[in-house]
Amino acid sequence: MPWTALSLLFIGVYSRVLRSNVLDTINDDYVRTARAKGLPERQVLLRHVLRNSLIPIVSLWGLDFGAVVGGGALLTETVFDLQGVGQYAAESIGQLDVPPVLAIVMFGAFFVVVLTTVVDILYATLDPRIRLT
Amino acid sequence: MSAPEPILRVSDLEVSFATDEGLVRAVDGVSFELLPGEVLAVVGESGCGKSVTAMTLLGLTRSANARFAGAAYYGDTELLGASEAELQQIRGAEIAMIFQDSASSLNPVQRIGKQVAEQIQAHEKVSDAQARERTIELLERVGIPNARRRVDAYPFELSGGMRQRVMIALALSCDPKVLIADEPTTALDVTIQAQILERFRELVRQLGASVILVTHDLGVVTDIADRIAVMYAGRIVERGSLDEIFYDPQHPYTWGLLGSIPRLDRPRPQRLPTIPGLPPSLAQRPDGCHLRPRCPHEFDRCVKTPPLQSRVPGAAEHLDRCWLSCEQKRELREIEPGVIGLRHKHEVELTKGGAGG
Repeated sequence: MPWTALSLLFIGVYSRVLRSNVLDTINDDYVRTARAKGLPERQVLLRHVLRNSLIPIVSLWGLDFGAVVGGGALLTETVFDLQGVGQYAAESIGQLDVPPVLAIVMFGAFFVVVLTTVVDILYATLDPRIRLT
Repeated sequence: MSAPEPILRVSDLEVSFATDEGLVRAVDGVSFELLPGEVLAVVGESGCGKSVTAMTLLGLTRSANARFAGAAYYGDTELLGASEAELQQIRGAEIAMIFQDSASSLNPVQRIGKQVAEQIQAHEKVSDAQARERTIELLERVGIPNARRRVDAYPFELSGGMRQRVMIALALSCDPKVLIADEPTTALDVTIQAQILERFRELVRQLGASVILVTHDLGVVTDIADRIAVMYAGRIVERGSLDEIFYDPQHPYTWGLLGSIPRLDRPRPQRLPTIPGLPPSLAQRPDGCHLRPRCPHEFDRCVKTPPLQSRVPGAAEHLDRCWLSCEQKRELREIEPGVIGLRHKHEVELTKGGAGG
């Protein structure tokens, strides 16, 4: 149940972003080329459209995932009474207890940084043009 | 000589798109036949419907906003009404297309070898390794040096000329019967253009394929075309053999096109000749002959659309859409002795006035 609640919001956001990216990509010239080759529509969509629409999704995912791991699931944890970082943060803020708040912010920042790195590496595999030579 | 059976028959093709400005008819009653092994050039300025015609043959213009009429037969298959599944069989394998801008027409994130092999595997049951070998062979045939290494390159790692060669390799990969080349060399500089055309002509000849060459470059046309169709505002205004179009053009628009080519064997004109005015918007075209507002030789009959028919005595295959008689045309098209071109309106009025007074 908590998982569902947490993912519901993201599913919505991500499908909208993906939708608009796919719509941008689908009119690109190389998609027309792929069709002209006689590929089945499914292959056109998966190999040519989807892959080129994934880049903005990946960058969003890095930020979001980092934030959630680093305590961003605050509301979900409070509602479902999970003893997580988010709830701890909420309690500490409520009691004006500064050191835990600082620690949690650092903790969150750490994950955002790590995941941004992961995202950069993913970029390079998704789009070879981004690779350093 | 008995006429060979045409490989592609297009009759009265009409393509319209629903837009905010209403129904725009991009292609208006285009008919032609493509014989086996011949090169048909479709020329005309930007937006005259040549690319749309070409893409419609492969069903690439299908969308919720597009309306089609007429018929296009490839053998016994009617292409306009064919199902997606039928078209998939034909695309790439029977009729292949070369697109103009290789920078955007190749998938930027896929290796070129993969993009070629993918097409081979879509039509033939071959293993990955076999498809790869064939791809390398194809890349060598289109003149890519070091093909074995380049096969793993990404499009952005190649120059424009090399990319265009990849496009050609892609189109040739399944030995198609018909090649549609949509401005295959426009994005290249002239020297590379000549090299690629040379190679293209050679390969097509080996393959025995028919070619529809869509272009606005008459220089390219003289190099490789057998027959020419001149398009203006969605219609074919003149159709004939290479020599007929270049040495005995019947339609004023063709005169204008020919007249605007700079000539090396003549003194340089002060200004390059142009066709006066602009092509009409496809949403609001004039009634009758579409060239009417721009044509200095316009007369009262021009409000009715001239049919595409043979008007030159003795040339049954030379068709045009102009009401003027053949003799009138031969007289009017010479802007100076031996030079064909389209006069401007005021020039025509001057000579009329001079003759009358």
